[in-house]
Amino acid sequence: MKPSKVSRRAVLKVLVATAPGTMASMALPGCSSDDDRAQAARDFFTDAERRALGALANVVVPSEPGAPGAAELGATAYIERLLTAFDVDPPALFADGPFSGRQPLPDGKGGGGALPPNDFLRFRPLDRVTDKAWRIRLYGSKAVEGGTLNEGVVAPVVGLRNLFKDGLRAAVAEAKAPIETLSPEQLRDVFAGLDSELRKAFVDLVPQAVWGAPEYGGNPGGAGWKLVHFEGDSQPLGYSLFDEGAGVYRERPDFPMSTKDPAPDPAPLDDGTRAVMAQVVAFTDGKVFP
Amino acid sequence: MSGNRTVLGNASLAAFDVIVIGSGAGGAPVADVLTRFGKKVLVLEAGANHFDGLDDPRGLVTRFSNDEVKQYSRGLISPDGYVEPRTFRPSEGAGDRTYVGDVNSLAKTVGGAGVHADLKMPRFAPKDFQLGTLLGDTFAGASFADWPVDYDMLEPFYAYVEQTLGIQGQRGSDPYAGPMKADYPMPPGNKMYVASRIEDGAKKLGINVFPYPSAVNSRPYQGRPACVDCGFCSGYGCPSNAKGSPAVTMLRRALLSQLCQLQCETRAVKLLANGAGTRIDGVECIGPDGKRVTFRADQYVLAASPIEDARLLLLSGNLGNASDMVGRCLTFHLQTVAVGIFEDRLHSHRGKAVSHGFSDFRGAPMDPTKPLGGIVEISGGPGAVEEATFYARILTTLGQAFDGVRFKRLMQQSPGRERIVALVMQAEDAPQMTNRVDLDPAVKDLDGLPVPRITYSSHKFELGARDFYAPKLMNLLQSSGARYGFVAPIDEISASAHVMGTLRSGADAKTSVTNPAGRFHGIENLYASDGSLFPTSSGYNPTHTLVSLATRVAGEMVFPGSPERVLA
Repeated sequence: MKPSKVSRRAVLKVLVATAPGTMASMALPGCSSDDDRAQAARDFFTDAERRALGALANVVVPSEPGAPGAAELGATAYIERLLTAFDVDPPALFADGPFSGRQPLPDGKGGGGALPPNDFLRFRPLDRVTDKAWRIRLYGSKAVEGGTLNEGVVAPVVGLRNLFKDGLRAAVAEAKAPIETLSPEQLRDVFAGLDSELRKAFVDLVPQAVWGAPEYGGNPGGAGWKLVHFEGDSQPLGYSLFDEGAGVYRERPDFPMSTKDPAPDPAPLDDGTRAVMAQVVAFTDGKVFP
Repeated sequence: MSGNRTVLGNASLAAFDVIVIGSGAGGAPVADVLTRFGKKVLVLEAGANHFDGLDDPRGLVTRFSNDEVKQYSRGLISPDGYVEPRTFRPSEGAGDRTYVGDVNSLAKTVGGAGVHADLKMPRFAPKDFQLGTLLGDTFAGASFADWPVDYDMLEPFYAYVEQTLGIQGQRGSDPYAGPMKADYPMPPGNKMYVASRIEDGAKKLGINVFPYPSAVNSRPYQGRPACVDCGFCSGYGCPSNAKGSPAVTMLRRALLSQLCQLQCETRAVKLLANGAGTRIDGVECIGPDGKRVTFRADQYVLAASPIEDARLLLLSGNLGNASDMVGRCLTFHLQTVAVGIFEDRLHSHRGKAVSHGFSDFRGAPMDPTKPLGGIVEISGGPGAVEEATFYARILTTLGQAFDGVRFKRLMQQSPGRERIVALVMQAEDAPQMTNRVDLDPAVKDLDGLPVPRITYSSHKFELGARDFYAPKLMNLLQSSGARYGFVAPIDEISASAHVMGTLRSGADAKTSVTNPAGRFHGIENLYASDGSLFPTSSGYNPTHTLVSLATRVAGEMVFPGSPERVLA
C-alpha cells in the first residue's frame, strides 16, 4: 500500500514513495493536547525498545559531532506518536492548518508583521474511509473489522505497530549488548538483519521525523531543517511579499526567490555526492556536462 | 465518522433541480452557473471538507498548510491504495491485472483536484480541437477525433474563467496560443530564479520562454491575497487562498447563493434509471456514516473525474453505453521529464512550482520536423521530506546497502532540492480504443464495490514525440549550465494527474457517449462536465479547458443552443 502522489513536481518521476504501514484501538475522547499525545506515545515501547529504536534510526541519519542524528532529531517520538495515533481524539495523523506560527503574517508593505497562532498543534478529524485506511496501516488488516480486502489477490497488511514492536523486541533479545551501546558498524549489522519491511519503514519514517513539521514529534525546534539548510514551512510570510501601497512585489533579502542567494553555498557538492550523481546519470543513460 | 461538517450551504433544501456528482473543477463551475440562474443544486462529494467558512460570507479559512507529512507522506486527500484501490494492466493480453493500488488517482476532497493542483492554466490551441480532421487515421491504433466545439466557441468561456478564477499571465507571449479577446486579469508574478537560469540557456537555442498562465493571484483579487510564493504549491492546498481554485471561487459562490447544498463524504455508487435506461430517477450514495441514502432531482451531472464517472456508469448496469464507448479513449499525457542538477544553488523549492515555460516543442500536426509534443514546464524542487524520498529511492535503485552518512550528505548538499530543475514536457497522447476503464472482475473496495481497472499503454505517436524532443530538452539543460542531466524513465503506471476521455463527446451516438452539449446520447437528463468529455488531450495542461467546458455544459443546461448567454 502506498500513499498516492499528491505532487506533480518532476522529482516524482524518478521516485515513488513507499507507504508507511499501518491499527486500531478505542480513542480516548478529549485526549488531544500535545502533552497527552506524548504521554500516549511513551506507553507503547519498553525503555529498552525505545533506546533501540533511536539507535537504529541513527543508521538512517547518523549522529556526528556538531551534526545531530535521527535520535537527537526526534525520530523516536515521531514514530511512537504515529504508532499510537489512535490513542488520542482526534487521531494524531494530520496536523491542522493553515499556519504553524513560525513565520509572521505579511504586513502589506513588503515585510512581516505579527505571528499567527500555531494551528499545527491541533489535528484534523478523520472521515470514515480515511479512518479505516489508517487503522489498517497501523494495526494490520486482520486486526480491523472489515480490514481484510481482496484476499488471494492482495497480501494482508502487516500493521506498523506489530512490525516495530515485534522487530524491536526481537532485536533487543538477540543483541549481545544493549543496542544503543553498539558501534556504528555493529548497528549497521543489526539494521541489516531486521525484517526487510521494517528496514523499509525506518527509511520511510525517519526522514519524515527529521524533516517534517515539529508538531509530529520530531525535528525539535526545526533543528532538522537547520541541518540541511531548509527554511521549512514558509507561510504566511512566504518569499515574495506584495506591497499593496506600491502595487509591487518585494523579495526577502535573506531568502530571495528570483535571484541568487546572498549567502555563500553552505554545503557544496562533495566527491561522494558527485559519485552518486554520476551513477544516476549512468543508470538513466544521461550525461555529465562539461 | 468525521468530526468535520458534512453538509455545507443551505442545509434546509430538500428538493433539487440538479444533482452534481463531484465538487472539483468539473462540478464547481456547473453548481456556480446553475445557482446563478435560480436552480436548486445538490453537490455530492466523496471526500472530506478541509475549509472552514466555504459557505460563510464572513470569511474563508483553509485547513491546508505547508506540511509535507500531512500532504505528501500521509496523503490527507489522496485515495488510499488498499481500501480504495484501482487495478492496472498494460493490455488485455496481460491477464486480469498486473497491479493493485493507486493508478493515477486524483485528489478526493471538497474542491477535488483543483485544491492541490498548482493550477497552471494555459488554453488549448485552436488546432487541438481538430485532430480528427488534421490527423485522421494516419496512425494505426489511434482514434483521433474532432471536438464538437472549436476554439472560437470556447473562447468566451475561457475569458470568463480567467476573470472568475483570477488567472495571471501575459497575453500573446505563447506563439502557439489562440487569440485572446481580453487580457488576463492579472500580470505575471515573480519569476523563479531557476526559470531565469533556464531562460538564459533557452535564448542561446532560440527557445521562447514565457510566463506560465496560472490561477494564482499576483495581486489581491476578489478578496483573496497575492501569492507569496511559499513553495508548497503543487500537491498542497493553498494556506492563504491566493490560489484561485474552483473551490474557493466558483463553489464558494454557489454555496453562498442559498440555492446550493453540498453533501461531503458521500460516495455516489449507483445511478437509478427508468426501465429503458433513458432517464435517471435518482442516485444511490453511501453517506458519511456508511449507510445508503438516495437523492433525487430533475437532472444529473457527472463530474467525479473520468475514471470514476465511467466506473459509476458501469456500476449502474452499463448505463449510457449503447456505443460501447464508455471508459474508452482514456488519455493521461505521457510526460517527458528532463532533470538537470546544477553546481550552484537555485533554491527552486521557492515559488509556485512553475512560473515559466515554453511551447516550442508543442509541434504541429503532420509535420515530421516538429511532431506534436507538449508545452514544457520549468519546474523546481520539492520540500525536504520528498527530497529524502528521492535519495532513498536512488540509493535503493543503485543497489547499494543503505549508507546513512551519504544519505545525510545528500540532504545537506541538496542536489535534489536546491540545485535541481525539471523540464516537464506534456504530451498529445493519441486516444486509443484499447486504453480504457472497466470494472475489475474480482477486486473490490472497502464497501464491496468493484474497482475501476485501467488498461493502458502509450502509443508510438507520443513515444515518438518523446524520443524526438528528449534530446532537445537535454541540450537545453546543457545550454543552461547544468552539470548533470538525465531523462527520467517512463513510469509503468502514469502519475500524471492529467486524466481525460472515457465519455467522449461528439455528434455521432455510435462513436461517442455524450453529445456536443455534454448530455448523454439516449439519456434525457444526464450530463457530464469534466475531463471525461475530451475527445483528444492536447499538449497543454487540461484544467483551463476543463473548467471552461464545464461552464459551457452548464450554459447548455440553462439555455440550450445558446450557452454563452450564461456569461452575461
